[in-house]
Amino acid sequence: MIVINGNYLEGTKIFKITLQGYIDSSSSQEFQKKALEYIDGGIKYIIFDCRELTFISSAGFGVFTLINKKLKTLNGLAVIYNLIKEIKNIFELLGFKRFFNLSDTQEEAVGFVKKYLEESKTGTTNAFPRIIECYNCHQKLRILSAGKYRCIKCESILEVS
Amino acid sequence: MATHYKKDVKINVPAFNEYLEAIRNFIEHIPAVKIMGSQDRFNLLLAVEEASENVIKHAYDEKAKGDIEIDITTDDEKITIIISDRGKGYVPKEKLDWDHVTELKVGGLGIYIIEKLMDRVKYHIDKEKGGTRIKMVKYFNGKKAKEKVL
Repeated sequence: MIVINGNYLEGTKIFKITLQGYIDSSSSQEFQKKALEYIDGGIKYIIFDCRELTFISSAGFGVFTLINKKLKTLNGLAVIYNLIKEIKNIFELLGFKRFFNLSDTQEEAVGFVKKYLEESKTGTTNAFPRIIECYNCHQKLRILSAGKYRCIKCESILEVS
Repeated sequence: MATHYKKDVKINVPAFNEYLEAIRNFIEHIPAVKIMGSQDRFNLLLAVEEASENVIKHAYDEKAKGDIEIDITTDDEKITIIISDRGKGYVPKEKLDWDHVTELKVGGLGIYIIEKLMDRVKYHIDKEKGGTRIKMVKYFNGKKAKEKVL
C-alpha cells in the first residue's frame, strides 16, 4: 500500500509529494496515476519525501523513470530525498544514482530545484562548454555540445542533453 | 548461524500482485532472515520480489492462472530460495550492458536486480512440464560466488 500526499511548499513553485508505505507491482499503478495527475495539473517541480517509503521494487523505479521523462519534456524536474538507508544503498548498488536526482534532506532538494530554476532563467542550464563528471569513474570531462560521449578514462557512454 | 535454524520451508502463493506483500512478510520472518543485517535482508526481499513479479507478469501474463512456488532452505552458511511457476516458461530478457546504459529502462530490470543482489543465481526452464525455476543463493558471511547459467 502506498499513501501519497502532495502540497506546494509555501511561496514556491515546488510541489512536495510525501510517500508512505511501499511501491511494488500492487501499488505502482496508484502511484503512477496520482503523480501523473499532479503533473497534468501543471506541476513541474516535484520533490519526493521518502522518509516513510519502506520498500521499492523495479515497478517503483519504473514509475520514477516515467515521471522524470514526463517532467523533462516540460523542462521540469523531480528530486528524491530522505530515503531510508537501505533504499539509498540500493540506488548506489544498482548504479541507479545516475538516473535520478537524489538529495539527503529537504533543504538540499529545495536547493537543487532552486538552482535549476535560476540556471533556467539565466539560460546557463544548457550552456556549453560544460564540465561534467562521469557517473562511473567520476572523471571530469569538458563537453562542447549536446550528444553522446565516451569517457576518456573508463569508456562509459555519457549522454549530454 | 545456529543449527536450529536449519529448516526447509515451502509455500505456494497465488500469482496475484496483491500477495507480494504477504510473500515479503513471510520471508522477512524466517528466523535466518530475521537475524541478517538490515541491508542484506532488504536485498534478499527485493530479489524475491523481482522473481515473484516476473512470475506474475511473464509466466502467467498477469492473469493469475497459477501459483508462485517458493522453496526456502537455510544452513549454516547460506539461504537458498527457489522460485518456480507452472506457467509458460518465460525466457529472461537479453542481458543489457548496464554499466553503459544511459537511461533506465524497465524491461529486464528484475533479472538485473536479482543478479546484482544475490550471490548465486541459476535459471531453469522446464520444457516438458512447463514453467521457470530461479534458484538464488545468499551467503550469510557476504561470500561472493557468482554463478549465472541460463
